[in-house]
Amino acid sequence: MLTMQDVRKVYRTEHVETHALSHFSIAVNEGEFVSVMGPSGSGKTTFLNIAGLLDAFDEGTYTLDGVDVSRLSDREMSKVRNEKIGFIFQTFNLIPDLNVFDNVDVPLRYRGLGAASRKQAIEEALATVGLSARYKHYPSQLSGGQQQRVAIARALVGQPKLILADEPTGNLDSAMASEIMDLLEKINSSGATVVMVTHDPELANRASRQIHLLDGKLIDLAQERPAPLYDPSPAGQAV
Amino acid sequence: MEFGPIFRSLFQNRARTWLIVLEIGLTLAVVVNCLVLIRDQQAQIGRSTGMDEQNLIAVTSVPFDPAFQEEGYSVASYEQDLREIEAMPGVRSVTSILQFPLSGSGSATGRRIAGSEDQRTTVPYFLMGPDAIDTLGVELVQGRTFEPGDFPDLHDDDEEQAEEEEDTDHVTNILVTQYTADKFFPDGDALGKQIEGNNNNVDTIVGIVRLMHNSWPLGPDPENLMIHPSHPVNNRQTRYLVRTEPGRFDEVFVALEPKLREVEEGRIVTVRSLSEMKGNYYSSFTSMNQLLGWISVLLVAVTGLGIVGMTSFSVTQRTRHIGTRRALGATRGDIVRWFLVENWIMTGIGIAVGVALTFGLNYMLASMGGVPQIQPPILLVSILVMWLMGLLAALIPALRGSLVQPVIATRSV
Ligand SMILES: Nc1ncnc2c1ncn2[C@@H]1O[C@H](COP(=O)(O)OP(=O)(O)OP(=O)(O)O)[C@@H](O)[C@H]1O
Ligand SMILES: [Mg+2]
Repeated sequence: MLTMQDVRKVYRTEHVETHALSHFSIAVNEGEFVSVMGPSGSGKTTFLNIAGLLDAFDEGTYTLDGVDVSRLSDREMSKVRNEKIGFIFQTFNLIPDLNVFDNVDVPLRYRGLGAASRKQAIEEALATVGLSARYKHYPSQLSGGQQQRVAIARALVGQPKLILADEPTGNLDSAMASEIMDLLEKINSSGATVVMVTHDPELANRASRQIHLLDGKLIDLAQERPAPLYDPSPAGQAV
Repeated sequence: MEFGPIFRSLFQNRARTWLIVLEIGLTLAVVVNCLVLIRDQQAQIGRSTGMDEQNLIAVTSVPFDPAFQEEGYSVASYEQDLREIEAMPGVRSVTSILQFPLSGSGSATGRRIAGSEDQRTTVPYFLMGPDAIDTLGVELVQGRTFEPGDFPDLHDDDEEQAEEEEDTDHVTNILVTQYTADKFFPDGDALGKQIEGNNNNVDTIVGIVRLMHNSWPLGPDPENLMIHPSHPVNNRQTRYLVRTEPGRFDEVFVALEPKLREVEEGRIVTVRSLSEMKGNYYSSFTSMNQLLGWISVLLVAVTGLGIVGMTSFSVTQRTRHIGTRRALGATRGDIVRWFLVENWIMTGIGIAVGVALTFGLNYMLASMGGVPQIQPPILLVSILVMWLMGLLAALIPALRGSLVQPVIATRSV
């Protein structure tokens, strides 16, 4: 699903160069649920940004779903983001001027689907996250957990192959966090590959594979994990 | 397109939306009414005054030589002037006149149908010498022009000639414009009819001029006019109106002053073209028009800048949302389009409100007097300009918004 080879990402500011990722290689197989842990500043978000085509990298190769994405144009990258990737943010990132329905609609709009099929997809996604009744609410009228569920509905509505979540439970209490985790597991079991950054070891343990980052490098604990339900192949190995 | 969600989201930002809508609406209303006013005055300035303006020269002679105070001197000089000017090469005809047409200064007096008990209405008039009609170049549609018998005797009592009108029990043969004729005699039978002034002085209409403007062509009643036969000569100043042959204006214009000073030295001679006098009179109106024009331009510019500012602000405010949209698959074009459609809707509502305000303002100004009706082409062009201006104003910040990187979405704030 996702293969990075010797990826390097350097942030340059006036005085400092930060090597956010260096010689970073990873392979994530289709259907995996990977949790990413590591201390603050270790490069987790950087990894997710690159994986989600939100940011460019300086060296190395990145193949997503069989496509070398390092050479895509801005337009092509937008298309890949729209069709193959669903993003879930720590801060939910709902658009406050839009109601729940229109928020979930956003990625579908950019796909140019007809109104009827969009409506059906949105209703299904909202049903999945259990918010069908609130489609007319505005984000400010929802609790944090509800907002994140809307964001999850928005991420999965286009049926992307890859879900990327950057500390999706970081702003939520543990009960809500667990609910969100349930949802992510549900999405994973229906076929999507999930990569989730978290600081919570308990949540991380629920993933099919855990990886650890330290100073922009991968530390694979190589723990044996049960393979995901529907994918009989062994979990991908970090190189 | 994202028409629906954008439309709904506008109502989540009511203050901003209404501010832009009102700004556009008010600007449209003021600009359209200014343009209508300008257009109307331009049309007034451009219309025919009935006279052969291009070939008319206004000459004023102010004597300073004490000889002019001697009895008969002014009159003799006046008669010689007329003869000499007439004989100049390139001159078609010449007449004397008390006040120049189109100049902004003139006289008016009360008149009513002779023998009636009507209220007297004000009629501007000119006192003019022989050859008045031919010199003015106006078209006589009924009756005749002045004949020598219409004029008072020049050698009788020159001091009082100009005030001839004030004499009692005197019948004068006069010319009037069609406008004035119709005003007193709407049935079209004015020729030969009489009108009267204050002291039982009665005028008989002997000729009707199709069109001629009085001294106030931008006044409410520019075509209201009568012409009295007179020799408007006195020892203080005398005025002549000279009509040149076509194409010989410049030649006559420069030759006039030397010629008159050759005839009689002891005076100051001023020579001006009638077009120049008209231009002077119109200048206050044209500068008013220019002011209105600049106000319109300025208003549109300020509104444009306002939209640039508001859109810029909302782009900055929504940087994170833009990043999120980019992360969810929006292309740069999608982002630009989003802001443009948003602006397009606001401008649209603004214009709708503006059209209502335009007619409201027009109605209000019209009831205060002086604003003509709205001409649809002016309204349409203004709408188009506002629309384009709105889109253009939104384009710059929208393009800036499209440069927001998708990675902004995951930045911790
Ligand atoms: N835009 C940027 N400009 C400069 N340096 C940056 C930028 N973004 C991240 N960095 C640096 O890169 C390194 C990795 O950052 P990253 O955000 O990937 O860490 P993280 O593992 O997500 O941390 P956290 O757990 O706090 O979210 C850090 O040292 C950070 O300071
Ligand atoms: Mg992070």
